[in-house]
Amino acid sequence: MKNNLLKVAFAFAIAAMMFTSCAKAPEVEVTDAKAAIEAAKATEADRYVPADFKSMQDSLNVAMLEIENQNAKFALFRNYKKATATLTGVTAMAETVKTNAATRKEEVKNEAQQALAEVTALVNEVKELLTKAPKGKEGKEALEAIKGDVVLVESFLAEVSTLINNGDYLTAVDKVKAASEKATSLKTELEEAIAKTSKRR
Amino acid sequence: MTRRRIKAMKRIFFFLMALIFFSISTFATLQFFSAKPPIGTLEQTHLQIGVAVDAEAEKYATELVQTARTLLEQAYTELKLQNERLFFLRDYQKTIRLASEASAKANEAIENTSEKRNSLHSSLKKALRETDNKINHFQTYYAHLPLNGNARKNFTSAKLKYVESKKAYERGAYLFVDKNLTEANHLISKSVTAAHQHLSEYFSDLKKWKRWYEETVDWTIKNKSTAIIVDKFAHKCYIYKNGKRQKEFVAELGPNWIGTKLYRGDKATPEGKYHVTKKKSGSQTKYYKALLINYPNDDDKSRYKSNIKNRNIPNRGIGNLIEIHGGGGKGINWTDGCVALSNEDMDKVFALAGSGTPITIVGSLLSLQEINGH
Repeated sequence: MKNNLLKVAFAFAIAAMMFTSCAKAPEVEVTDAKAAIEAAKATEADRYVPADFKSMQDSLNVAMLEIENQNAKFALFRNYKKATATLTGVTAMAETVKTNAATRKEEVKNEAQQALAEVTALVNEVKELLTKAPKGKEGKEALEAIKGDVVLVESFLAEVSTLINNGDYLTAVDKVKAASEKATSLKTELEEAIAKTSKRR
Repeated sequence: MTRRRIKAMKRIFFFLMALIFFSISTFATLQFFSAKPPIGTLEQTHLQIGVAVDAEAEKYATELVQTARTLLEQAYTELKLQNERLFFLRDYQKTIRLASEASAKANEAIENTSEKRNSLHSSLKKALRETDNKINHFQTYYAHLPLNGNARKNFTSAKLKYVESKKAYERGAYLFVDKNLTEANHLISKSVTAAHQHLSEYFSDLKKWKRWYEETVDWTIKNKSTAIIVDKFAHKCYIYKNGKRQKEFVAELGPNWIGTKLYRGDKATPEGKYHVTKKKSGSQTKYYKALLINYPNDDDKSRYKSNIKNRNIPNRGIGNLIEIHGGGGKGINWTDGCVALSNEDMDKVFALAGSGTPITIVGSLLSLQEINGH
């Protein structure tokens, strides 16, 4: 009889333990993952590594849904291990995404800056050619027009610098390409004029 | 412990067991039949919003994407609310409805974006082509004209913006292209307007030029002879014989060729009916060969006097020594008011012309509308 009583007490103790030790939602991990995503977004990861950023967000969404899925279960049967693992993965992934974003941003920035430097050099070549171009009555008008165009190309390049400083590298690259085309045509125009003059001499 | 007591204890034990069994069975049944959270629906909504974002719906259908997100958040809030209730009291219908609405909005955003992008894709393609045509048209007909600085500046800016738009179009940045191309068009229109204004005054003498042209051609018929007609706007020098155009050559003029010559040093090429007064070659000219014309004629002299009287021009003299000469082929308007041909072409003109050969210089033989092709 004594044994039976002990068995009943033991069964209740087990039940009580099970009730009190049910799984807790991974709130800290959720906060950490969300903060990590925000930090990645602050580095413009969504713009420079959109696929990685989206994958990270998708993982967070999956984890959040998994948490709610577990929350819907009876307390004893809840298991947040999968959600916790996904959230931990998101937090870790955010660091990689941040690094990748910074790298890509630097690459695009360098590309834009290099293009800007190339066109600036091209404009300087055009300016140099302007000094060599025929200055007599034959070329005066044309030279004035070209000088005006050079000023415009330079103002365009100034806009490119502003765009680069503002981090708008893609627009900067488009602009720099347009300026490059114009500077190249001016250079050709001048070279042809100089060649014609040399030929006549 | 008495037997009776043990029996009572057993009864209690079995009762408790039955109670536990009953409770578990009831719980299991209720749990089995209770509402399940609509995880699949929510996943689908997430995916749908993700597709919308990938399609750049945030740019093209901003409000719809925002609404979809708000509805999804509301669906989550409702899901949490329901999960906090006792399982057999949960009702996820509102969550499902909100998630479905969010999905619908995301779908609508995708469709709208696709429509807008497709529409922009084709309309911008057309707009780019039109702008390109305008630029080419300006380049062909106006860029070589001695226009004011602003017209050229606007044209160059328009061209830069056009190229920039073309590059942005290639990477699908349609909204930027839409804005930038509008600016390019505005600038090119300003240049065209300025050029038109500049030219409308110039072309006011068209009737007179056409009369001169007809008179000169008639003269070649009556006299069965040769005449030279220079079309300044076309930059062409034509040889007419017996009423028919025999040859045409490219002509270079003075830089300020728009408008007739008014005074010495204005770098303008005169307009009028002239004739050859002297043929020069060898050491007589520094421009290979030359046909000196009788500028200023009576009309030029009378205009000069009137302009001096009204103080319209500086008193520098009317100028002289206007010729058709060689040394051309430079591709620019560089003379002091003469008409320059390449030496090769000058040989042909020189051979066909003699002293007294009529030389008619007109602003244009075509109207501005005819030149523009409409």
